[in-house]
Amino acid sequence: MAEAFDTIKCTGCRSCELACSYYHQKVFLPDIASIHIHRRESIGRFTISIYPQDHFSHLSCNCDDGKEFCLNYCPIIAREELRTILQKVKPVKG
Amino acid sequence: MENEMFGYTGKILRVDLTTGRTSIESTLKYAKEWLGQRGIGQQILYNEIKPGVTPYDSANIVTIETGPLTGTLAPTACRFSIASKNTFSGGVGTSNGGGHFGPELKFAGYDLIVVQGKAKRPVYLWIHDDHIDIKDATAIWGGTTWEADDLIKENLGDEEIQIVSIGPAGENLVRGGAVIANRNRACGKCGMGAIWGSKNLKAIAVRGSGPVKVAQPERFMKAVDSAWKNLENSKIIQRLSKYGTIGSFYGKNECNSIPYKNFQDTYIPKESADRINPDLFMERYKIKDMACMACPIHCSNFYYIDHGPYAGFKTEGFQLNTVADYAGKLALSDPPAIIRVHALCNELGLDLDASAGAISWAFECFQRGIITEKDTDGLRLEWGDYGVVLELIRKIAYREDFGNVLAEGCKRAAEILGRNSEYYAIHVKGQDLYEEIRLPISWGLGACVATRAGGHTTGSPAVNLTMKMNEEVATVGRKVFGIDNIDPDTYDDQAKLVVYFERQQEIVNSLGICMFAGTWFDPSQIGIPELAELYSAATGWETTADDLILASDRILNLEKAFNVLHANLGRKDDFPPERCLREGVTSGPYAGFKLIEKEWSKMLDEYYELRGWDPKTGLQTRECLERLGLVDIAQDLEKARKLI
Repeated sequence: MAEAFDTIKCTGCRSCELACSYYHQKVFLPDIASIHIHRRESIGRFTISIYPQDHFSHLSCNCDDGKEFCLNYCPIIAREELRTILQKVKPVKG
Repeated sequence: MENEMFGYTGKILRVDLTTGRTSIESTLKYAKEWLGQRGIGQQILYNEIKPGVTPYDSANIVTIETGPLTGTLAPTACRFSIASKNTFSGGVGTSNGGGHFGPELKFAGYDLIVVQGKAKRPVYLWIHDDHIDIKDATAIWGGTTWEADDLIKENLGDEEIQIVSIGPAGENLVRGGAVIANRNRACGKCGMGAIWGSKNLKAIAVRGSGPVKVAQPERFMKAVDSAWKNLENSKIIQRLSKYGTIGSFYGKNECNSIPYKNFQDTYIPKESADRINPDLFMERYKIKDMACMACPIHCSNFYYIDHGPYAGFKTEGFQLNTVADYAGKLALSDPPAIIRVHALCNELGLDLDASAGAISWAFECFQRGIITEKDTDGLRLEWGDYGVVLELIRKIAYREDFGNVLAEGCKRAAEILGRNSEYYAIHVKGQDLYEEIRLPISWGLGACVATRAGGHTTGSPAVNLTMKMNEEVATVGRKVFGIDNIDPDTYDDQAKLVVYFERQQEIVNSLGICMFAGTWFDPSQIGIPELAELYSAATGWETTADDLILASDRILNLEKAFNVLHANLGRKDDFPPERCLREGVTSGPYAGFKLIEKEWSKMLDEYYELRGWDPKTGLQTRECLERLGLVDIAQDLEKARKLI
């Protein structure tokens, strides 16, 4: 199952989904990404879901901790927020 | 697979709403000659619509288009376009939007959708990968675009579906009817929403689970990373990220480039301008940044109003054209009213430029006593009265009483009214515009020669402004554009600058990225060589910058021929509205400036010569079309006696 987090800074651009699918299979396909942005456009709020394990078409988040590929494409203003969320799902080891 | 394509999905979906039949065509048939999105769409429309067909005729065709980069991680690669006959000019109609619909269409497996015919009753198109369904839309017909978005997602049981829809304006064949994605991303110009309305097409909903593949992934990502870093480091783009284009409000006003009170002047007085200061929107109303798909720029803002008559209202915001349309042309100076006007137009599916064009024409007619409350259903049209403006927007969308006249756009409204009101109808080739034509001169030229009848996004340069603001940008700009003089009031080299941006925008609009990531604001961003690298790596087809320029010239010449054959447009239609030639600038830094018709004519000659067209008539020449490999178009024009 996914772990979901409400955000403040996320712009809803979903670049992380595209980056993640590229990381996994060198294609652009949000349905296989280990991260998903649910855009609640009427209230301007976005929820980030992370898949720690494979779940239906979504592949598990398995980048090295702290070096997640998606972070490179997260807009600068939202990057630290995403980094924090990823750390919550995947606590930095030792 | 032998026919596998990269970048492109390889499939075009054809839908006949009259018969309910659908079919698939290969994108390969068009891609190598016409790039994608705008280019392929224009080729299909040119080939398949006969000149006598009118915009609302069921024989008219509408295309929904993505580019080969749409859906990839190239920065801003989210764009899609909708094209058909222009409801204002009868010629080229093409309108470009962002958000998340374009990439989803690619994930579903389609580069374009071509819709023909007319449904017997309201329908929407539901596309889920290979599953295509024409569904009954009777229950959502009459509702707003926001309601359509909510109801379709609810009915189909998936909140991740991407939807584009029309509102009451499109349903009621308001000429400025828009198509709206993600509640606030508009394909606004050229009346594409009205075309959908004429076909009884309420919406297209799409969900895709397939990949967009690129031919050379490592090479592609190298080009992506370079473009991404470049955008992040640009001071111009950083400002755009913070404000959106309203960040250039003061700069543009100081260039005398914002129409005021229906183009009576080109400058918002300082005390009024200060009431709509961009920092005020940021500090008082903005609650977060928002972005289209794959966009590191996030030029969009989400606003919340916490006081006054709209307290509690929240919506994604707007760009500078909304400010110029409603704070400029209609002199509104209340920020919440501007936020509300913008949202209402999107809910009703109404183009901001077109609605503001007709309404500001009416306000000036009222000011001059040409019309009175007897004509306006009892409304007093006093500059700055946002309550009246909101009421007229609603009346336009529902074609109610006086709104039924304004729904035709300012040109036709003036023809209906008469009383010498035509002079105050400010339009290019029949379409209302927000663009101040007088300054900068290159901005005006780009809008006047635009094939889609006005608008600044197909050729008007913005760099006169950004190069003026930033010396570093100016140095790069001089090198990239090959020009020295960027003064707003110069005619020198401005035709050359417009041709540069026509090419850049034609390519950008055909590949699927946003013009804001290109060289439009900042010449050090994604230019034509960088686009060639992205395109080559994505498709696996080695393509140079010169190849892309050639393709862009082919597309623009196709559009030009469409305008000549379908709307009989020529040299006279590339001149500014009469008011902009007769009346000079009366206030602001460029007070006293006046366009000189003879100089404009000379600049136009230069533009036609750069294009390889005949300066005397503005028509295309056989030599130009043969050089571009457009022999069939030359034959069509020759038959119509429109070839030099």
